[in-house]
Amino acid sequence: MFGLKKKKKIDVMLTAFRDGFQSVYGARVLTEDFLPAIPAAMEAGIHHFEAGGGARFQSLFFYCNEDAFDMMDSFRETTGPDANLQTLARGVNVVGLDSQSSDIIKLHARLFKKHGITTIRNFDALNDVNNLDYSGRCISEAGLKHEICITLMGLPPGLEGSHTPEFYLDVLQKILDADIPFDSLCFKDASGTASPRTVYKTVKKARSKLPGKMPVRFHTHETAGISVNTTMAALEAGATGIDCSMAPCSGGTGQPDIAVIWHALKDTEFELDLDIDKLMKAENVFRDCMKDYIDFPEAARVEPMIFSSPMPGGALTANTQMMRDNGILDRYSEVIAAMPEVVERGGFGTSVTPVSQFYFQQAFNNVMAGKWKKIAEGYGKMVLGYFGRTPVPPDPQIMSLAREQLDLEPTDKCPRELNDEDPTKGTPAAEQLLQENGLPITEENTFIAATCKEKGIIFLNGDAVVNVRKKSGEEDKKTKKDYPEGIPPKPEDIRAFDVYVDGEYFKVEVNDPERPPLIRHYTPFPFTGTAYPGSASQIRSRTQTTLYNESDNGWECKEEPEKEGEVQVKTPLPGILLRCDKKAGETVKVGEVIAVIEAMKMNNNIDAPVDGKILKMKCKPGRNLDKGDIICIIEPT
Amino acid sequence: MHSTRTNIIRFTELDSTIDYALRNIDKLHDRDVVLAETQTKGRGRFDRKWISHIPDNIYISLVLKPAAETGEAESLMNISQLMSVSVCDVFETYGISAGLKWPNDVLVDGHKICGLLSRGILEGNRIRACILGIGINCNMERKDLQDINQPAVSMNIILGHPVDRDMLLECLLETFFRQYRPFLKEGFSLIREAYSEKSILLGRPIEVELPGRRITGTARGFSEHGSLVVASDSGEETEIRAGDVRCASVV
Repeated sequence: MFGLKKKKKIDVMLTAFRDGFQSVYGARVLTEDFLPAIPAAMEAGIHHFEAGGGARFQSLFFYCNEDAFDMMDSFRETTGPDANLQTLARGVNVVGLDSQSSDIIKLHARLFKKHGITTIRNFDALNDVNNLDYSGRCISEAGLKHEICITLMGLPPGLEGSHTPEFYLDVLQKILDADIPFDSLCFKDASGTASPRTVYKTVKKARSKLPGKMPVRFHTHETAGISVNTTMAALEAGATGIDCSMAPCSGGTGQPDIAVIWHALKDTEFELDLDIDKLMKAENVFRDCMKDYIDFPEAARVEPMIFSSPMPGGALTANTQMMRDNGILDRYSEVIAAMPEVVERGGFGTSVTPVSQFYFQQAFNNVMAGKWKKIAEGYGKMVLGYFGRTPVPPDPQIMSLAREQLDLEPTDKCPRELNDEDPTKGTPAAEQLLQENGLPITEENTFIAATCKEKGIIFLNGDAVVNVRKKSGEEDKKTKKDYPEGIPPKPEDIRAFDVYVDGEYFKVEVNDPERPPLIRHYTPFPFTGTAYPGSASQIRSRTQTTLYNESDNGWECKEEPEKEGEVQVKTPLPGILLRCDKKAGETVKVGEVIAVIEAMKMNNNIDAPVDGKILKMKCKPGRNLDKGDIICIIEPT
Repeated sequence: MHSTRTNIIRFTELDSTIDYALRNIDKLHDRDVVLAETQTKGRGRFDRKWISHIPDNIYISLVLKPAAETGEAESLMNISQLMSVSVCDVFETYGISAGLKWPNDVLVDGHKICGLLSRGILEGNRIRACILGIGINCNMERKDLQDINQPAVSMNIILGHPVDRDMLLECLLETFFRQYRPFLKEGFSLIREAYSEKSILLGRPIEVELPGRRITGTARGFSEHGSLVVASDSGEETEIRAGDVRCASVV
């Protein structure tokens, strides 16, 4: 074959241990569980790993009771000094959801270098080059390789106005004009929705704009079913590297599987420099590592509706899980249908963290509370300019709604500069938080406090609990002992009971008196943006299913009958209790914040539904709450 | 005055784009590109013929008129070498690895795929403008290639699929103009390393046909002005500024 005697070797970054975990297991995977898969992958010829960052920073503190820096150290120790270990940073938000001040952005780069990282991929959901500039320079100055990133997405059918090759190339030109130092360029499609032709044109023309040897990488997800096509398009256009994952964290919401791409490249001018037999062994080792983790069906399949959302792999599972937990998964398609308008009027930012979450929250509110009746906080701040400049100016009508509802003026200042003026951000604020909690002030602790706030403190105090979705050993045993053939299907003639507790209606279905009952009741939970009214138990509208299982035993905040003269303040959505602002014995007024819970990557205030005195706080920070769990009991005055 | 945008002037058919550009040089602007879908009298180096009656290939001439007062026009002497490196860079994005045969032939496994021809427009004893003719085989049938008097190949045959000619052209111009300004300032030295890396001659025994004589020896390297340095068997080095190079082990 002409000119193809020497096949072009394509660099593969294995994303299994970061984006794979994030897309399939909500980023909740324990380090000791996956480490054995690393040497197996190296044996097959992989030397470039995504080792952290993105949601895999916070999630280790929040859900794994692990220090993310320790994880990175273990990763480096396992690979040895030569592997290219890469992490993902979200521009000025670095590894959190909130934007940070200059000192914390700088500290991020320094600490990741200190903990064994080689390369940082740096992206901004709005493709605002201003957000990549300072953060990118910090990465380079720390002695790391800086992979600057442009984020892609395909627009839902019928929409146009941005996300064309011309738009992406204009972003690249702005990067070049700003003279930001970088060692490689990545095109990142978190929702896997950019069309192969757009990818081809963008990568091809980008290569012409860059020095001949500048590596150009392509990242996508299989969610929409076209990841192999777009990966091939990127390679044919001249991409020098791609991101792949390994089963069981490949395909579906994750990256295409490395073996699948290896196969797709047969008889082409490209090849992956790998030993395919050893790669198959590595996949088996990894499957074995992950065998105890619960697989969610939507994480493993192609979702044809994703073109009209567009929702990144990681966010899709988190959002469907949340809707399933609340018994409203039947309205998922309505939320997806509400997305295009939200994208268009919000200014066409790329659907990737955190903007993907803003889109979902706003679409959700538009469905649940009525169109534009309730502006979600993140979405509102975005249209008002607090995350930087959107690709296209947001709809002025939406901006004025956001301004009214959030009581916030629009800004054109860059987020980092706003943060530098904000006394609640930056090193001094983080150090103060550490001091107040009697924690030692180290660089790492300061960064953890700044980026993980209360939940970081919960971890540092030793109060974090592991919340990893594993098939529990006990459940396995029980299933084997009691149901050798697995759990029997629900019979059609199941006995149903109507149960009324204090005027509240429950439907209880009972089949076997030895098994726990299934209880349904009704509660609303729109994303109210800044605050949630504590849902006093009188207000019920939508179905919730709580299946009691034995691993939950003994939680004092679980449902209990409401006594005469008491109001239970319940969490309207599942999440983690960040902090309690009130103690037992204190009095509260309607609307006063009692506690803050985090769910859907968003903090939600739980406000007092009535004036009164707090009789009892039912749970403490760090606790994972199911929807309907009781936070406190108030005696109304 | 420099323009910063290229302007493509399209023709369905021309005798040759370079002849059109020569005839109209006064009317044409810096960075104008004359494009013909087909040519009736395509030209190669030493007035050889360039087969160019097949549409969907690149037959263009690029007009360059750098500011006279800066003295940068001197670098135009080597402009076809910058273009040859640019062509290789663009090919690389298609997965095609091409090599350079001094001065500006682009070959894939010894097969010709691109031809470059430049014409300087002199004013007194200095260059006022330059026309750079570029022919690239993008979408040729095998039988058309057989009509060419030397081994030749086309991108579509290498890749196994047709090539979007206009996109290739856009990428080529973008790649070329990315380095054009610095090249005018620094001349061949800017691309000496990249050019040498792509050269298929270095270290090989070669034969250079010069008007009236022939030099044999080993290709040693390239001078800062882009000429080929040949070392004879006795070790004597000669700088070749013009000539036709043959390399038995290559072609």
